[in-house]
Amino acid sequence: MSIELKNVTYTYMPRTPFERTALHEVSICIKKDEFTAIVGHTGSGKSTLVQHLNGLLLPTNGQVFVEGTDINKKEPAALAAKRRVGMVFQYPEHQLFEESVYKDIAFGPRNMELAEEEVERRVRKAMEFVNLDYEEYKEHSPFQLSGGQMRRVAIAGVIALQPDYLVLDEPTAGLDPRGHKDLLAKLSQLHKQEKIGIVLVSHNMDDVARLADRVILLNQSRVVINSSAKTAFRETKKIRAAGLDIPQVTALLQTISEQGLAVDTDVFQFDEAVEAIFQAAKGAKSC
Amino acid sequence: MEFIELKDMSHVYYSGMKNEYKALDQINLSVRQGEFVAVIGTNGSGKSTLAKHLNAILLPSSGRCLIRGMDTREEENLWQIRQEVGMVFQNPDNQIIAAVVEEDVAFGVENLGVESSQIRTRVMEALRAVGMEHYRKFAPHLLSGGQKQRIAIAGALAMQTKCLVLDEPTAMLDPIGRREVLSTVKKLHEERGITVVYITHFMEEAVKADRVVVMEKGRICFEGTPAAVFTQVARLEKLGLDVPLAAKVADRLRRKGMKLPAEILSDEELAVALCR
Repeated sequence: MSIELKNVTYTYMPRTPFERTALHEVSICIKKDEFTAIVGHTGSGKSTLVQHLNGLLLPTNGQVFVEGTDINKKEPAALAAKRRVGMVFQYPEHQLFEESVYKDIAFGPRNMELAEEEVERRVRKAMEFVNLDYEEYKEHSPFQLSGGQMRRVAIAGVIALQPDYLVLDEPTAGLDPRGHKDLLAKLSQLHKQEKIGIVLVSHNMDDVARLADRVILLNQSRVVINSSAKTAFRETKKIRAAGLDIPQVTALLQTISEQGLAVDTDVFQFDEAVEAIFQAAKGAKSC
Repeated sequence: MEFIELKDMSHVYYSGMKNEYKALDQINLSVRQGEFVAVIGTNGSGKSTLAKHLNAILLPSSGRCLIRGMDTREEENLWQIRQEVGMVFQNPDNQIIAAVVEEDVAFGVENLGVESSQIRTRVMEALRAVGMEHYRKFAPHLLSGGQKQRIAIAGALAMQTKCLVLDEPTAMLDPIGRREVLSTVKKLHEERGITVVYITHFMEEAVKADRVVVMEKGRICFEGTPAAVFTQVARLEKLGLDVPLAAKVADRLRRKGMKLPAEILSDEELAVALCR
């Protein structure tokens, strides 16, 4: 159960003066039972990469397989395979267009030519999932909701397609700290309960450290790290060279350790870090 | 001298309609000339509405908004106010209009009817101030997010703006871009005495301000120095806001019975306190 990229290279505007290779021989495997984070600074190739996951971009070289099917072959199985991968772009609320929340979320399922009862069932479920009360909001215009609510409607629209994989490009940008936390908790729940494979594109290394099983780091169009979160964040140099920060928790623990207090710098969860510092400080009253 | 003075200022959207909404509720706030004020608060707390009053994009429904003593509701003040207060918004792509960097920076000044040789000097000077002079012939769409935001700041500087109002200028940027923008703003504040109103969700940015204003439901619920505000961990968390990590860790450690100094905001401060 995976999405596999084999030697994928993508070149924008080939054979013109503007030719630019945005992905260079990328081979990665995104497993359905993993929470995958794709990180990299602006222009590193992240967005180009995720657009290959459901065939929005066609690789210049190489192949993309979803559950073993080459999605860029012209055959019905390829279309079905692409549909397994749901995509939430940056600022998805800009894509809302219908006159009611219900119609907006129902747009995708209706396009799949599902029966109206099934459409309604999916809209209900998707709204319930993103914490929007069905009866209260179904007739609301999506444009009169707050930013955070609009974002949730947009995400519900993708969830209603019932994809096996959900790819989200910076889904929390511009949300306040509570909205940010709620949305990420939802994604984690979606992964654990509904067994949906999550691919999160993010700049926020703290979120990545907390949530991701696997970290894929892109720098200058190439994959430079592809490993478990724990292993990935030991590569402080590579991460900094790629123009990213290490998680704040790690940075704090490293600063404390450099000051001379022997603290475990390998934990990423806030509570674990507090405990590690507490134990270290208790153990060494003078340092 | 007070640069910005808000007196019992309220703002009501869709006034008289069924979806009437009071976004600002009797705000009283003064910002001194040369001060750096950060505004934090959840989505929908009124931060952006407040910002838009500062250069008269929005006008108060009641109360007054004074910029260097000029009332924003009086039309003859508009040009002067917009020249003195420059705005930078969240999405850099929504505020860049020209195809070449220097033309974009020059746009505002040209509209003031400044002589062309003077425009050139001002544009070059503004680009130098944000460290973008080498990019003056570039196409803005090829720049990074942080660079675009610095171009937007340069556009305001070329107008010889006295005050910058930045509404979540780093929300869409990667860590490098965020640092670029924040350090540019800090530098302009320190070296040129520019008054800054900086709206953000990133508490580690708000820490750099002289004063932090916390908003909730259209009101200012408390304010003070970063040290005074960010040590109120429980209160901020209840509002759904974050605190800088070191302050949060220090708070938990104190609750576990450790003795730590009251004002810990940065990693270094916490590290030093722990090893004392």
